[in-house]
Amino acid sequence: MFKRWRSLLRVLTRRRAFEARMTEELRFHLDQQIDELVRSGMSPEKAARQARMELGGFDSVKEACREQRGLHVFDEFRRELSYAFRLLRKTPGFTATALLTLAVCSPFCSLRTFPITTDGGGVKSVTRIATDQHVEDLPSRYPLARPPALHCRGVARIGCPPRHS
Amino acid sequence: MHKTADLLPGTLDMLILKAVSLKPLHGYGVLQRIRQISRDALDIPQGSLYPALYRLEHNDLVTAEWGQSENNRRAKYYSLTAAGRRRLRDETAGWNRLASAIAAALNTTPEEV
Repeated sequence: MFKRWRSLLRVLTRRRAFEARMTEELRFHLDQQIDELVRSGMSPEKAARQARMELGGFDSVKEACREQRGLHVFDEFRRELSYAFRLLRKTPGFTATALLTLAVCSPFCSLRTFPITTDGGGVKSVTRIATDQHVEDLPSRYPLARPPALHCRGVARIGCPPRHS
Repeated sequence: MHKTADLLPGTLDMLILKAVSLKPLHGYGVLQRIRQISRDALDIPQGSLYPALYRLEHNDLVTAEWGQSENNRRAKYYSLTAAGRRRLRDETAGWNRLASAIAAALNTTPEEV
């Protein structure tokens, strides 16, 4: 187990060299195979085609080798991460709003669900951002039967309501 | 033309360990050696060879070093580690037990039952 971790760490820290050597190794294999086929009387073009076919796809063999070294988990994570960043770049408005929300509220707020009134006077449950203190205070400060203090005008307000002593 | 046999699952690693136990070999050499020592009866699927070598290296059963090939090119040579030697010994013993049990079962005649 320890040896496998050490092997993975070695490859991860020298990834570029690992990739280059893997390509060199498979290239060497293909060349040896092509030479042998040519020696047996095949034309170089046909031999090259045949050698590639017998190896079963240069890239798929490489991918299988990476998987055996435990690299596929990291590669998959990196692909997912880059996909997420691409999506965020495509929707700058959403990204900016999300970042701003996180920047403003994350240091002192937590995400909670609690009842909030609508303009029509009915009670609906929506997700809001509020401090723990506000959630605890809520039932006494905003009685649900007569909810005059907290209004939601169409969309949930984002941000922490001012604290009352 | 020789008849080649399909490999049973799990036997590829054992054959690779055997091949590199005789002499350090590069990947292509492993293929040729297995063909040679099985008298051309076993043909390793080339696509499975390198993932198997990388798995064995990852598990510290073989170790690899770059050296000069017979045609003066840089090649990656695999050799057996101490753990690989132990694994080969265990797998060979297990395989021999299994093979002789199956052979005994298949060679049974009605008189022996």
